[in-house]
Amino acid sequence: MKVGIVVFPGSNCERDAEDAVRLYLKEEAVFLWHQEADLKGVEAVILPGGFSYGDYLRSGAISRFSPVMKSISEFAVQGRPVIGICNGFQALTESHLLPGALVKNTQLSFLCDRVDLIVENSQTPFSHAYQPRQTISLPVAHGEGNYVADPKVIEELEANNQVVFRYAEDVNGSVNRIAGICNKQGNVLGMMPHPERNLWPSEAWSGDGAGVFDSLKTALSQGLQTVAG
Amino acid sequence: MLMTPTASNQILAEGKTKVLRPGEQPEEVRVTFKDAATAFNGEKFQEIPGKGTLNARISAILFELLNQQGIPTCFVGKGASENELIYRNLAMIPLEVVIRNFAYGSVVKRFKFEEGMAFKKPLIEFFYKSDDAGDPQLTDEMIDELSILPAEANLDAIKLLAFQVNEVFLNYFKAINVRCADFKLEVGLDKSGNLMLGDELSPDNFRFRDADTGQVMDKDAFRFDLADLTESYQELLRRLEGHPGVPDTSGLSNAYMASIRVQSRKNILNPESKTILNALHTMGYASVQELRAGKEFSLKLTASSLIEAEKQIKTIGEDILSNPVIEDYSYILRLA
Repeated sequence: MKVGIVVFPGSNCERDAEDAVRLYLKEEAVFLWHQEADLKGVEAVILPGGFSYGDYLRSGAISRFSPVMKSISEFAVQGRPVIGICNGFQALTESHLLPGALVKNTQLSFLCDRVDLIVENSQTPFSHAYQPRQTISLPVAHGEGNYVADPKVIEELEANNQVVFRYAEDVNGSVNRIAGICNKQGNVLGMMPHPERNLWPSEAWSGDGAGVFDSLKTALSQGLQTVAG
Repeated sequence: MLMTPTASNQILAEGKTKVLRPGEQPEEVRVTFKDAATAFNGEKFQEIPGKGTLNARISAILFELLNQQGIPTCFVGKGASENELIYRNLAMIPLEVVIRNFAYGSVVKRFKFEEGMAFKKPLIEFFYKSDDAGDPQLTDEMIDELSILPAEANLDAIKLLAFQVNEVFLNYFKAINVRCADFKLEVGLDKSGNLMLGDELSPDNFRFRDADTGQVMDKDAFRFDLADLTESYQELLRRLEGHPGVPDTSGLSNAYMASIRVQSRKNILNPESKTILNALHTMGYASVQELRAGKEFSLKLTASSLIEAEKQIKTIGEDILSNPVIEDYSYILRLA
């Protein structure tokens, strides 16, 4: 399995994502520089966290126009798996690969914490290693993680089981406490929390983020079942 | 000959120079151009046989030109008779939008410009279309006071449309050696609230001069008894019909200025605005009741025309500078 990790100017979680693939999954990781359109034959793409292009204009807004994002859009349309974490989630909404938008946290301050999440859909290629409605704990670190969308879009997301992760408690003002969603086909996931920062259980950490990567690996080895519903 | 039902001959509206009747399609009207020449708000009046046909033919050519350039107009096509055109039915705005490239007429009287001088940039003026009031000039506040603009319309969009029309005309008339000194436009809204050019595009509403001789080719011929109106209009029509075609302006590089404003949509919670408002209240400015934070982008750009520049600005505003999920954008575009 070969996973591509996108690097924009201002990305800062690409090494954590690399650890998740190389050290945790023991699989091959390649960096995809934003100016290159070649996806180097990867089977999955991770858009890591950070502040791509300084978060200028809006978080994730400029990254949409990079050559690598054009290729990723095509890759996603083909049903191949794409995960956007934190700033990567923002980039996916700006690129219209996922609906809605992420705006400033209601409390206005940067949120750096560990939060409980409920796995709302454990049927996706990114979450099937979890138990239905399992509660997991993941770190969050964002200033713009407040998910908004038209009420109609929210209704659709809920009806199609596209809400994959939900905050157990409101942490940033997100509608319906949405923390992570997938597209209708189920092959594109965007989430604000950082699963790649919580892979190995220790005294301080639960290791709960491993499920996302375990799910992806199994899904790819089984020929990727993309089911959102 | 087909019998026309009487209902369709019913007069919907009649002005000094045109009569409106229902068209065959529900959203269309038939416009008959009368042979009447009027000036000085109807004080001077004369029947001039053939004038209606000349005005209809000239208007058709100029409307067609604008339609081809992508400027929205009321013009649908020619009618059954030579002095009749088919228009889309518009809710007209009682504004006379005047564009001036060269100084003639009232602007010379009011501001003592030298007659015939070229303005640095095209000027725009607004007058109230009201025969009773004598078509007085308007200010922004007077436009508000008289509730002249419907909710869907705004003055910036009207100005932009008028300047776009002017740009097309300047290029077009240059090719037939005609100086397009000034003209009056009227605009309205179609059923869906889209701003469109209405009225007529005849020498009644323009000041045309031969670019070399200064010979009058418009209603000034009648207004000031300078020349024979029919001959002047015929000469213009002759040149329009012999026009080499729409000049290729795609290679032009004109400078424009745009200002794009992006604001979070009203029903979207904007914590930034809220916090600034709270801070103002804390500092004792309890009087501030509403505050919306936004962004403004000032752009200098080049394009082959104002029409092309607007297309660019719309794409930039919609696709890049704003996120339509959470924000609205508006723009002002003008000559640099």
